[in-house]
Amino acid sequence: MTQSVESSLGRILRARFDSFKKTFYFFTRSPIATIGLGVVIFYILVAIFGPVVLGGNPWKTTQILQFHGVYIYNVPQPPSIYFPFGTTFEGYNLFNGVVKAARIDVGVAAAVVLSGALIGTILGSIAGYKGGVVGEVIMRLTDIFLSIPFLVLAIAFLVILGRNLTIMVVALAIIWWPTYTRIVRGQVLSVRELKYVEASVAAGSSSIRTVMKHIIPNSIYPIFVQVSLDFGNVILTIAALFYLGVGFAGYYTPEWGNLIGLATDLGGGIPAVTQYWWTVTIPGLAILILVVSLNLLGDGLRDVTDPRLRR
Amino acid sequence: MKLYVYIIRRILLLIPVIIGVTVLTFFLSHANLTLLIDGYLGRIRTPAHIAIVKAELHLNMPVYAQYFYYLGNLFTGNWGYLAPTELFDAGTPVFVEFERRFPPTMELALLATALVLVMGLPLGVFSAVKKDRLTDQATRVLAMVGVSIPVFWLGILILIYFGPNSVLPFQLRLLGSGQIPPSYYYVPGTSILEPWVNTKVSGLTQPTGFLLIDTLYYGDVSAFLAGLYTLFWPALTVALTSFALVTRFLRSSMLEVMGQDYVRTARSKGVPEHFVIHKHVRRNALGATTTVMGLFFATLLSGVVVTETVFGWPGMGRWLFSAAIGGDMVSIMATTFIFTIIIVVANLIVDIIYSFLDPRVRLE
Amino acid sequence: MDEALVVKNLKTQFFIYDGVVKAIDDVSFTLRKGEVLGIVGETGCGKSVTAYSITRLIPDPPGRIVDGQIMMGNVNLLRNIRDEAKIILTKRPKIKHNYRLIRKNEYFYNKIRGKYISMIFQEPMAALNPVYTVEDQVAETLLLHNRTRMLKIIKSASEHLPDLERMKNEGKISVGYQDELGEELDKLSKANRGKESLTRHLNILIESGRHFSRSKEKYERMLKRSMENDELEDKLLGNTTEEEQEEIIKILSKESKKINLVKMSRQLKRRTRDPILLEARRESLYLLESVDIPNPYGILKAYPHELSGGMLQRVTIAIALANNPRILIADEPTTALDVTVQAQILQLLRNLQKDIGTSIILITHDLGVIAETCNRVAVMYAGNIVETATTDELYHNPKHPYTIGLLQSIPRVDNPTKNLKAIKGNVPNLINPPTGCRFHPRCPFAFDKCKVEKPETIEVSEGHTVACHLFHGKEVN
Repeated sequence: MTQSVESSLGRILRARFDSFKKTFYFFTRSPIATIGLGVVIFYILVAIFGPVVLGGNPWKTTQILQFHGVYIYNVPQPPSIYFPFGTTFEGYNLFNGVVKAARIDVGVAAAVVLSGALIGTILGSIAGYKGGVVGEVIMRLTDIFLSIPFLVLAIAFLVILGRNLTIMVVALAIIWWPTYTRIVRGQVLSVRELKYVEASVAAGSSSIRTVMKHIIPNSIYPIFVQVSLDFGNVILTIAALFYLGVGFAGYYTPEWGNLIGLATDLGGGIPAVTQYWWTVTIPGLAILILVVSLNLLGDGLRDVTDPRLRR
Repeated sequence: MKLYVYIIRRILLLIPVIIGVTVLTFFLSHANLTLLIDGYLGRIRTPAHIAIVKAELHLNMPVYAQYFYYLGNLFTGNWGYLAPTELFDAGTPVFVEFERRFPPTMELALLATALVLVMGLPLGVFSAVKKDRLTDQATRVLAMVGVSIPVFWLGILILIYFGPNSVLPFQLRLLGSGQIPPSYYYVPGTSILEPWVNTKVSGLTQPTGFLLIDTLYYGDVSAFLAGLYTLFWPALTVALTSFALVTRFLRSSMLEVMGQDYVRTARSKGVPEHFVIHKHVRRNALGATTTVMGLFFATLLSGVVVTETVFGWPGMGRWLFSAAIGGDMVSIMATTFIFTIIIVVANLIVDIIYSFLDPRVRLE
Repeated sequence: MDEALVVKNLKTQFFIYDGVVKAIDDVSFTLRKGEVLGIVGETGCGKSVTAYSITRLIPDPPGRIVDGQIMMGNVNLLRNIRDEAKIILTKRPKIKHNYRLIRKNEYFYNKIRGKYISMIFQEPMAALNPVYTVEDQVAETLLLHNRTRMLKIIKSASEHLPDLERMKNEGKISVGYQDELGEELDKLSKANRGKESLTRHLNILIESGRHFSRSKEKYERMLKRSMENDELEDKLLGNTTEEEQEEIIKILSKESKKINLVKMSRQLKRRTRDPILLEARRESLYLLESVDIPNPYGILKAYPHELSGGMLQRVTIAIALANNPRILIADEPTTALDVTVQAQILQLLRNLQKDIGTSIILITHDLGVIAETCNRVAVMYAGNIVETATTDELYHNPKHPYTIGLLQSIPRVDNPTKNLKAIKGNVPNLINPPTGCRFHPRCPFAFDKCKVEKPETIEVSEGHTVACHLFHGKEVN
């Protein structure tokens, strides 16, 4: 028995790989989606290798007090050859900060989305497949969590339970899992009704085998789409949390939202920052480009995997 | 079934959700007891006083009993006290502060929702009808960028580039010029809105608390217009970052409906294309859009919180922000609860409207 | 003129990612007045596409009617079809649409659809819009195409109110008029559906007559404008020059925007005082009665999901025949229904046809339905018509190998055989169809010429045509 399960697993994986190749081919037909994918990969590389290349403490941006004899501590320098993105208040090198922030933003977002997707998928499978009271309870839970604006709940969690990395990841994961539960449950319910699944169950395959062989492969694609869309939303939320000042690891953490918040706080309010536009605009652009690319990626995936569209 | 029966059933279904939310807020508020006790202490912080507060909060009783007392407090408006602002002031009750902060947030949220509907619905219809043509592509790009922009960043950009010190030519300085200031720049003594914001000095009572309604009530049209203008920019910020959800979903919903058999029947009757879209397709597509409204409201309110902070709009979002910085837990719990209630009620309204549009829903 | 519709050299293609689907490849046939023409063939042979081509309901992208003529009377419905879009046949076919022309032709066709040519479809459960009542959807087609007649009826009713009251009290039609109202009353008395129905009809007539008199000028103007529009429409379908047609279409399209269907549907739901809407309701009631729906007055206010498949199909028939169209196209109307209901629907179609005189194109894959209902039959295979004949002739004297194969494959109770005879092979891929005669790979009689040259349509006896090389040289006159 185990032998047949293994070999059928192998067959499943190979079949999946082939269809994946076909999907990838169609995906690259769309230039916009490919650009999105490229940019996202670029960001991931920067996140992993950026801080290593730059050196220094990944949790702090480098401070530059003087430059060529000029005391620049309080006067942000515009972008130039020496400072590719310029500096912000208190002499922080913006380029340094933005690159190091990539790791934090991308890393935390990845942790959140992956754990949220995992929890959500598992709960969704249970809710869909077993149904009954357990299923209903799970769906009510999703209703509750989807009724609370995510930013508000995240703020509440962070203030009450403490402002550190773990709490942030846990809080955001708790906010984001319900979407996956809904998707997966929907998929499970519709796949369950399919005739070939009925046939498989009638032929005597166990629940786990049915789930693995039939249900999960069909649900994978919507989950991928949702993951890339959620990634963007989580990054926006993280940036907002840091901007509002409820982030973790200190006041000067390199994080895109935090950099913007630093600029407005240290600059004496938003109106005063006007002449130092790069301090605010550039970190924001970093966020914008990444999230747009993630959305393009997600849209491209959706267009390619939507069974209703003829490929 | 009859309409009112459906409404009652929908309301009954709300109750488990609300209970669930109260359980969540209960656990959150009791997770950090230091903060909780702080929220109910006044100015006096002797150990005896702390013991009194502890007893008042029934902290020595088992958890489920605490929950019931919590519920009692919640529904009677006993939400704790803010930290006293002046030396001999007793702290303001949180509920009173809530009454003060609620109308501005509702004004902002409602105007933002109105803007989203005015922008998003027609765009969704257009981009479905002119699929893959220029309007469609442009709309999709705009929507995508809109939903990818951090809300606070957009607000800051608007203030920077359209504000008085902008690096752009002065014609674009829409804010803070002349008589009409943006709310952020509220400088006492210089604006039309001064008597309204500084009611202690001017003595104007605000019957409803809604700036826009009150100005009309007193017939002060210029203040009304100034208020509207001030409200417009934060509302636009929120709207731009949340309309994409509605537009995208409406587009795909309309495309799906346009492929249905009954649309083909309508065409075969010779119904002009204009009415095929606006009579037959639209109602069905809008109905399906109501499923995404919950997520939309969550996005909207999150955006409201951040925008109020950036623009200095005196609503619950700003309150939440200062509470977060100051560790003021009771305010946080109050705002969380209210925001949730807002979303739940908004969902209910949307569902009821949906049941008007689609008679099949009432069968459930 | 004996013909209701003449289709000549119709070519419809679909331009998709994988290539060009040549769905309809040079199809020609004639529909005679008052007859039922059946189009029979397997799934995918192009019969539905033919129907949609005639009513121009082909989704564009990805489909296009590439060439052909459809003559209804003197008018070619597909004039300037080739100018509507330029097809560039590169590696991936690209189409450039001339949207202005397409829009103009759409206006033109919207006058034809629902009024001269109607359709009923296969899935009755999905054919009606679920968010509007039955009444709304039946009245819609009346309000689009039948305003003049309705206004005349109302006007006449407003002039004969005391008579109508008297007839209502008496419970029968006792007066005859020479105008449209008289026709309606005639129809009602002939239908003879009982006192309650008659009372209802008269009530509505009286009410709309009263409302008409109250705003006499407004409705008189409406009537005049409606009659002018009718004249323009008739001119459009006659022999006119390009410029005249453009002018007329411009005026008509402006006029059609004034008929606000959305507002009307809303008013129809409430207690409306608009006499046109009331008359539309009354005629909808009459139509539902004439398709034998039980409790027609109650069904008016019902929603589609409350009705069964058979009833819904009757409703769609009522809608299709509301304006007494010249041509009715029925696309597999009974395939989705139970066999007993099927018989009822077919009987209904035949009766209605006798009353109104509509010519019907009945599309089906069921040879039994053809035998029961049709006068003449056209057999389609892979986008071509391979044989046309009267029903009798076709069943007793089939000529084309495909027809013979089809007829042989039907299991027969009176002649039980052990093996079912199937036609070998499969339906061809229409992106790369077989060369020459598209049936040749499956034809037991195929020879060399069949692979190379597409067969012409040959008339082998009166009214019986075949497209097959076997009959080359055996034509009659």
